[in-house]
Amino acid sequence: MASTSPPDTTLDSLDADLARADRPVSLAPSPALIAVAAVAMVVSLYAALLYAPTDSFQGNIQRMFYIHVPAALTMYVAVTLIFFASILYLQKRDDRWDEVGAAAAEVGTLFGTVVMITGPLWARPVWGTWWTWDARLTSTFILWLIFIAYLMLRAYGGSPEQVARYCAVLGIIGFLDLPIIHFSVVWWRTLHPQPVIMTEEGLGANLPGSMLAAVALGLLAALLLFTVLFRSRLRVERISRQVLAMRRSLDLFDGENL
Amino acid sequence: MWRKIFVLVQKDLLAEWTSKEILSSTVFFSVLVLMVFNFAFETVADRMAAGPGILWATFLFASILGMNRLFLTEREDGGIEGLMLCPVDRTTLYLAKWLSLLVILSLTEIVTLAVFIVFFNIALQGGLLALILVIVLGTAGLAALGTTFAAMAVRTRTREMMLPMLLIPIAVPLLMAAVKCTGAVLGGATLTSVGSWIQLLVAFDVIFLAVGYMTFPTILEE
Amino acid sequence: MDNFWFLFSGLVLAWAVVFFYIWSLARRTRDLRLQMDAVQAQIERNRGK
Repeated sequence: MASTSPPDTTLDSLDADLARADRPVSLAPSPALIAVAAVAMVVSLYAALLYAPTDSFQGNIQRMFYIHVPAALTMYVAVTLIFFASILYLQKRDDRWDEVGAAAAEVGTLFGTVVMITGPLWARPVWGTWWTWDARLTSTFILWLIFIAYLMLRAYGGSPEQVARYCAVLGIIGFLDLPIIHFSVVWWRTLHPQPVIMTEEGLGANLPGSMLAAVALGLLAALLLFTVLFRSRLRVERISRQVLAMRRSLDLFDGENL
Repeated sequence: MWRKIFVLVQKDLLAEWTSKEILSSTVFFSVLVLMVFNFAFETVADRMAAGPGILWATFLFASILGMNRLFLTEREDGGIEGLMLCPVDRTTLYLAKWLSLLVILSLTEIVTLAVFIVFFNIALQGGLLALILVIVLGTAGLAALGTTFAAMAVRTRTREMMLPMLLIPIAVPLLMAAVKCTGAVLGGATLTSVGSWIQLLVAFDVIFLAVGYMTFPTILEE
Repeated sequence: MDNFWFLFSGLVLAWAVVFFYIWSLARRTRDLRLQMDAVQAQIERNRGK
C-alpha cells in the first residue's frame, strides 16, 4: 500500500469538495413545497373528477382534459427553461446551467409521456380514432421526440463537458424550431379533414367557469409537481457530479479504487 | 473569407470526385429506396398523390447516409483536426462544410429525381426550374442542420445513429414545406400558389444556417 | 360506460408514470448518498495515512 504523499493542495481541494457536498441539500424541495404540491394535486383531482360539470357532448371522458392540457403546458414550460439554460450555459460555461437543462429535460419528458398516454385514451372514445395528425397533436408529439433526442444526447453524447455543449446546442435549435413546427403543421392540416366532434381549439373559447377553474387548478398542480420533481432531479444531478469529482480527486491521490 | 470557403469546398469536392465514395452509395441507396416505395405504394392512384412525399423521404434518407459518410470519414482520417490547425475560423469552416454538403446532396438528388421521374412516370409540364429551386431550397436547409448535427453525432458514442434522431424531428417543417411545394409544381401550379411554404423554406434555411454558423465553434471545441 | 375505462386507465397510467419517476429519483438519491459516504470514508482514511 505504498503511496507517495500528495501535495497539500489535493487535500485542500478534497476539503473544499466535502464542504460543498452539503450544499445539494439546499436544492431539495422543502417539505412545505412538497406538501403544497401534494395538496394541489389532490384538490385538482377533485376538481377534475367531481367539481367540474360533465360535458354534454363528450361525457365523462372529457375529464381527461384536466390532466392532459396542464401536462402539455408544463412540457412547454420545460422546453423554455431548457432554452434559456442552454444559452446561459454556452455564455457562462457554468455547469449549474447544464444541470438545469438535464433536470428540466427529464421531468419535461415525464410530462410529455403523460400527454402521450392521456391523449390517445381521450381521443379514441371521443374522435373514434387513437390518433390524428392535427396541428396540436403533431407539434406536441414532435416536441416529445425532441425531448427524447435530448435525453439520448445526454446519455450517449460523450464526455460530460461535450454533452453539456451539445445538449445546449440542441436545446437552442429545438426551441427555435417550435414556432416553425407549429405554423407548418397548422398550414398542412387545413386541407385535411378535422376530427368530427369539437377539437381542442374549439374548447378554449366558451368554457363554463367551473371547467376553467378545474383547468387552472390542474395547471397549478402540474407546475407545482414540476417544480418539486425538477428540484429533486437537479439535486440528484448536483450530487452525482460532486461524487464524480471527489472520486477523481481520490484517484489522483492514490491508485486505490473504491 | 469567401476565398477560404472556396478553397475548402474545392478540396472537399475534389476529394469526393476522385473517390466518388459518398455519391455512389447515396445514389445507389436512393434507387433502392425508390424501389421499396414502389412496392409500398402499389395502387397507381396512391402513387401519384404520394409522389412528392416519396421523393423527399428518399432525399432525407439518402442525405442522412451522405452526411454520416462525409463527417465520419473526415473524423477517421483526421481531416477536421488538420483543418483546425489552419488559420480558418470555425464559423468559416461551417459555411464551407455546408456548401460541400449542399453540392454533394444536390448531385445525388438530381440523379434521384431522374430515376423518380422514370419509375413513377411523372410528366413535368415545364416546371423543371421551379422544381430545382424547391429541391435546392430544401436541401440547403437539410445541409444546414445536417452539418451541425452530423458534426455532433460523429463525436458521440452512438456516432452515426445519433444523426437521424437529432435531424428528423427538427427537419419536419422543412420536409412538409418541400413536399407541398414539390406537389404544387408537379401538379402544374406556380410557386406563388405555395408562396407561404416557400417563405417557410427560406426562413427555415436562414434561421438554421445562422444558428449553425454561430454554434459550430462550440461543437468543434476539444 | 365504456368511456369510464378509458378515463380510468388514463388516470391510472398517468399517475403510475409519475410515481414510477418519483421512485426512480428516490432510488438514485439513495444510491448517490451511499456513494458519497463511501468516498468520504475513503478520504478520511487517506487523511489518516
